Amino acid sequence: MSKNKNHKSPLENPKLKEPVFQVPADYFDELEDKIMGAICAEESKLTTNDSLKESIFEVPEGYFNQLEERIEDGIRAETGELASNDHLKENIFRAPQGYFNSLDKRIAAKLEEESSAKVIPLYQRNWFRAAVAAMLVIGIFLFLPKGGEVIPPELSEDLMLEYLYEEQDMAYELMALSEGFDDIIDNILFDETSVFDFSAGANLELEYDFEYFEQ
Amino acid sequence: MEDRDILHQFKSDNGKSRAFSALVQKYQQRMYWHIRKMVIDHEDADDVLQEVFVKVYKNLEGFREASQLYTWIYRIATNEALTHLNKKKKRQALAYEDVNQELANNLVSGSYISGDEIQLKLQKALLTLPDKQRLVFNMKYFDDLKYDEISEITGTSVGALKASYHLAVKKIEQYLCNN
Repeated sequence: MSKNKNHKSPLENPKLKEPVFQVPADYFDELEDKIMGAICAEESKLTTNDSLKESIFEVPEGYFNQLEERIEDGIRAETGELASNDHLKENIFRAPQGYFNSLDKRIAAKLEEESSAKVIPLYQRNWFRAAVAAMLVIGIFLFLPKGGEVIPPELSEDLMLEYLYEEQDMAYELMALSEGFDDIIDNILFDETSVFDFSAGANLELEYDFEYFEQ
Repeated sequence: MEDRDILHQFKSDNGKSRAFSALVQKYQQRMYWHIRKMVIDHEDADDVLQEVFVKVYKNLEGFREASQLYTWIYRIATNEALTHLNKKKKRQALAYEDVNQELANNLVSGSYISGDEIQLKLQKALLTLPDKQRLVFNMKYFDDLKYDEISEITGTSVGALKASYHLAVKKIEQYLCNN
């Protein structure tokens, strides 16, 4: 049997060469990122990356050289001669005879004395009111709007004094016109001073919760 | 009387005075000796002690029992003693060393002090320490308080207290050896 020279192998069918596999959309666009991510994940593996195991913490110079000594000091402080010396632990201070018998009475008397002493709040004291009034006068005098008034560039001393007196009189007049000026001052001062009183009154332990002992 | 009974009675309408008297009776000695070891002089200790109890009286009604009454009073006494020493330094415009030298002089010439040479030497050694270190030493060494208790009173961590105490002991031992 002779071969037919014109017979073509089925493999020569060009269709067979066409790819039958497909990739998801954008596969090759995202491939590089995926590979880089995989490399990064490998590098950051906690078990294989020695550089991550390196300590970033440091100790003061000579820390470990002195550690043993410090531990020994601690043990000696807790259990050494000084710690077990009962003679040194004795109280050498004395109180006058009968001191403790009358202490509660003296404290009661002190409390009585404090409660009977009339406490005048700061804002009710005359000198304080006078000081605040003076500050208000100065404040009004300095900061009262001038209403666009132009002061002549060259002022004689008399003119200047007249101007100042006028301004001062205006300030006093303004204050006099205010009804219940004392009440206004009292209210301002009360607002200012009552913040602390309120806090202290509402949280009587505050004083001892937070103050004094510095680290 | 138990602390909770004192507190309960103090907050009632008619038992305030009796409860406070019981409180003073209960704590006066412990607080006195605590303060006295810090301020050295009896008159100063008396002033500070009275001030402590006046503050206790004024604040007791609002005491929220977040800590033990004993710890709270101890804390007030500690603060008042330290405040007294600070005021003394400011009032007399003295340097820290000068005030402590004055306190050391009181140990020798002051009244109501006994003790032999080594006991006085220990007190003098204590006066070379900063006030707060001396305070920690006193509470641990003389009052036998636990670090936890001192921590609660002073608001300082146990670790810091241990370091402070160990350092204080080392300094005192050196002082006693050198003097």
